[in-house]
Amino acid sequence: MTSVPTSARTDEQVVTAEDSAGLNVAEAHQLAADIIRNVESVIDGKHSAVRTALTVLLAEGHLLIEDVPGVGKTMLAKALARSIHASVSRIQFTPDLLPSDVTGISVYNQAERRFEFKPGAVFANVVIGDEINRASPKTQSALLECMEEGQVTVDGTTYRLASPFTVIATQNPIEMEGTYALPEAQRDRFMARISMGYPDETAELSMLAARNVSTPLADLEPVVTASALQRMMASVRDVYVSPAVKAYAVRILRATREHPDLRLGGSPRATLQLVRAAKSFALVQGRDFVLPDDIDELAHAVLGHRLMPTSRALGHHQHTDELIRDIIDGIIDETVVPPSHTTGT
Amino acid sequence: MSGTKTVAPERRVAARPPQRQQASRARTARTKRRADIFARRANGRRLWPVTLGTLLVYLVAISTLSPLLDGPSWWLGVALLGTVILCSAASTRSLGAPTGIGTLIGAAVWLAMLVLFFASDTALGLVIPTWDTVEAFRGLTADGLRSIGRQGTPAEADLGIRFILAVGAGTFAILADLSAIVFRMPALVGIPLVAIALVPGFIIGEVNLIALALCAAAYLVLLWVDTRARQSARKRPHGMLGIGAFAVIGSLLLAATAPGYNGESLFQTSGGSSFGRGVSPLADLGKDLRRPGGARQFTYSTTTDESLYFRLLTLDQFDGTTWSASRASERVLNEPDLLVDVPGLSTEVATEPTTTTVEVGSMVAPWIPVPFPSVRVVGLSGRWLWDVDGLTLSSRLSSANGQSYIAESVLIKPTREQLIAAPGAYPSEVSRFLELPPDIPQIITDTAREAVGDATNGFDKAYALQHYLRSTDFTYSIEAPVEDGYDGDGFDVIARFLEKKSGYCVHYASAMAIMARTLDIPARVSLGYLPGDRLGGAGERRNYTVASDDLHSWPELYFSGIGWVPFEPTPGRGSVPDYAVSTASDESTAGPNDLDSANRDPLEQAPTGPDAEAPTASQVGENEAPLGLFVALGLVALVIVAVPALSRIHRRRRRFRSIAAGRAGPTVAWEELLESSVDFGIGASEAETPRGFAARLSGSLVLGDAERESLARLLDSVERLRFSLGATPAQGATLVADVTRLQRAMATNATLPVRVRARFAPASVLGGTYSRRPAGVPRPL
Repeated sequence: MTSVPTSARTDEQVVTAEDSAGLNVAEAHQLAADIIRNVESVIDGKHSAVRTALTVLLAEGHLLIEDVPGVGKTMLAKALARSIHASVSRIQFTPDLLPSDVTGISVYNQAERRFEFKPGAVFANVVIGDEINRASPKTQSALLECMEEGQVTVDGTTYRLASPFTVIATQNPIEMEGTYALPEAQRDRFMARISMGYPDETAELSMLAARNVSTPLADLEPVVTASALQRMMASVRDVYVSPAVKAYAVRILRATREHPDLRLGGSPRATLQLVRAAKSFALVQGRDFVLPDDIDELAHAVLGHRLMPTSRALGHHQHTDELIRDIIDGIIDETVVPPSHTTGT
Repeated sequence: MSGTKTVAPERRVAARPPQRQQASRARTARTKRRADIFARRANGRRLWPVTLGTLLVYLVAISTLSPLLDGPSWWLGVALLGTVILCSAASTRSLGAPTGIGTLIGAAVWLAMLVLFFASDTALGLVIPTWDTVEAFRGLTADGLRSIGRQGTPAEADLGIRFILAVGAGTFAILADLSAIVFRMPALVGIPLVAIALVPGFIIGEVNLIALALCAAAYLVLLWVDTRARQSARKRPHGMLGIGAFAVIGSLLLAATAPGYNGESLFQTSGGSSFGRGVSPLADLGKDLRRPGGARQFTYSTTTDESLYFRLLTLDQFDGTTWSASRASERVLNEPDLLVDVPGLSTEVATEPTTTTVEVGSMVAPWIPVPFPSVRVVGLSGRWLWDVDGLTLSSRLSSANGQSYIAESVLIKPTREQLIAAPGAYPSEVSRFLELPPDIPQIITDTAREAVGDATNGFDKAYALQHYLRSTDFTYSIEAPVEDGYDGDGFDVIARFLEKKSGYCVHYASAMAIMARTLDIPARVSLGYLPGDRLGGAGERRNYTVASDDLHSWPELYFSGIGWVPFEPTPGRGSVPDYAVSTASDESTAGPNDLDSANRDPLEQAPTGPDAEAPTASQVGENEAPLGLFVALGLVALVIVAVPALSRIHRRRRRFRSIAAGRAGPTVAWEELLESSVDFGIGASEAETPRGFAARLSGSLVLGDAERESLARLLDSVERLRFSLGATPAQGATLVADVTRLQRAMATNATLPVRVRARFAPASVLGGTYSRRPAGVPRPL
């Protein structure tokens, strides 16, 4: 049986790129809080994951959610998408999914006697790629190319994707069967990777109490318009990053490259995305400047999936993730925040 | 087809997570442990230079004890001990043990070495102590203390002394290791260092500037090495170095110059270079003189109502520079029934048999005080030898300390007529008391001839000399000879004394004895005590107490048929014997009982005996309560205690002033807050963000609303200042108030010991701003 390759939701209007002026910090903070509250009404006890997801969304990055099945990966992606008044499409990745299912295909129109382009699932503001590691590498790379380029080229014609454009992909842990691990070059395209983790006891109990309805998502109303989202994204671009914080981010990334237990450190793209994510995170927190703590907070999510341990270091660990977590913690603990650009008053 | 594939693994996975989590937690713990061990090993290796610096301080510190002990072998032993202790501690750390365990191992090695070298026969397998070992140690300690009490300096380092040294030096090594490496406050090593460096000063009363300078240098090397070893994680090393150096050098200098400690030794390092031998056994007279205080030496009760002079030693030989006790006279072992003869005494002279019971307190000397002339002494412990000419008792091994004995003496009561009638010819055995070196200064012979005038017989001449010296031309002064540089008892000194006419008992006694010899009257100098203070006791027994400021010396002249007759030429001291009392009214100062202690000569000369061991050296430590020394030590302790605290307070005030004046802002306020948290053991790390610190602070303290608000305000200010654009953070008084409020909160949250440490040994001063990293954070060093 073949799952439905695309289920593009067309009931939402596709928002296109338009330059909008940024909101002020307080407004942006308020909207962010609204979105988070909305998403949390269907996902209990996952504040940090929700916040990070929103951060990535506002930073115009793509998010990879990785965890065992049943912890709410897809729920998070959907809830976030629904909270925004924007177009959402969902792709269920399977081994037989074709690249054209993702990007779209030219079909011959008998009536009009010409080829016409049938847009694929990526033509939406929020694209949910479910179980992305079940698809063949070929299909994976088709999506990832879209993510990087922001456009699709079919039969020599280039089609621009929507803006904002965010892919929220979910995947099962790579150790599991029937999966094709994402190559590191492609993982690098995701701004951040998060794990949901199991809910704690209280959260799980309250989930049982609240989830009488089988489809809680159906009740979820959008709280932000696409244009407001655009303006929030513009605000993110205005968040101030002091030279000290920039230097701090660079130090951390350089440390990953020099770390003896790492085969592959963070790329310059990682540096860029870390700082961009930190700006967005600062705005979500209601600040118009970035703190080193924002960098620390996001380092795991932004760097975790990009670092590769040496096989020697891995020898002592069975779990790459834990090793990487320890390494990042160690780097954060030892990296000194550079002195500020001003002193005294 | 993909359905089965997807479902099956999911079901399997779904069953796994709980174990996986547990397993991963165990793995993480294991990894952490491994990482910790690796970090500790690296840390241990980096700490080696600090250990070597500590060892250097240790070696220099024990070397300062050189003037007190004989020979180099003890030094080698103690040096080996410290080296092994410190190196075993450091090696343990290099193998990955926590720093504290290193010190524990060092202490265990120390104990094992003590057992091995001092009591291996009582131990299991040579090093494991048993109850017998404890007993053996107790015995060794007692031996050592006894030996210290008995011996002069430099003392022979016998087993007991070596044991005490090994215990003391080991303690020093462990304390130094603990402060420098475990507490990472090498500046604290200065406290035991100063304590050890001051010991020779206490015992021989002399500060060796070279030794102190070496101590200070070694200390600075340690601070420097430590700073370098920890530089990666440290700010402000110079501050710490400076403060530490100031504390130790300052206190050492203070020790060298403090009044009462040793006023004159600042530029006098020749007296006993600490690394060579030889504290001069000739105790410095001036030093004794000017030493304040007068400790009780002995008490006695006697049957006579005469004033008894007690003598320790007779100085019968004069070589032109000093009087000394020759070995010419016969020595006889004292037995309870031994009755010695009084040399030269004929039966015509009236005598008064007297019994005196003496109880010596803490007076360490190889002689015992006996009245002159004693003929029998009963009750002494140890092996004592009579000097049959001087009628004194000395011992090579025993000490007067704690002795209690009965001396029988025959007080001679010659009449003036008998003395005048004594013939001018002397027996041959007395002729050595006439010997004088040929280079006698003219002024001495001239003065003698002048003073005697036309007197013809021996006694008149003697009386004239005494009369001359007690005349109003002469003044009693213990300071003048020192100030004018003629302290001592040689020819030059006496010549100057006769010119200046000012001096103390040694000068008078020596002058009279030398002049008597120039006039062909056999003469010698006695060293001992004045009769002391009457305590009471009626009828048969009279009780007296004698203190160290009753030390005295006086001349004795020989008259044929009568023997040795004491005189008292020192004005204002002692009592003139009946036979020598002036018949005229010019002897105003010499009442027979002129014993007002306020006028006493507080000084006495120590003899230069061929026995060459300095009694004075040990007497100084034991007898003359060194009030000044305690004051000096107190000052030193105060300086050491106060410097870090004052420095911290100063830094805080300076910061608050700049903030209040608008010259500084949140950054400085935050710095102050970080330092306080270091002081209170909450810690601050350079790699920690302000927000991280604030979170940890509010997590580790119980804060009220006002404090939370202050913390939030401070944090906001410092974050805005450092990381945002165009911020206008809090200023002046608000900042100071916020910081003060949080500091108070830290104090109220801390236990008393932590509060005391924060005030008097603030880690931020002793170890730099970022000396402590928060718990759980691996530290670079």
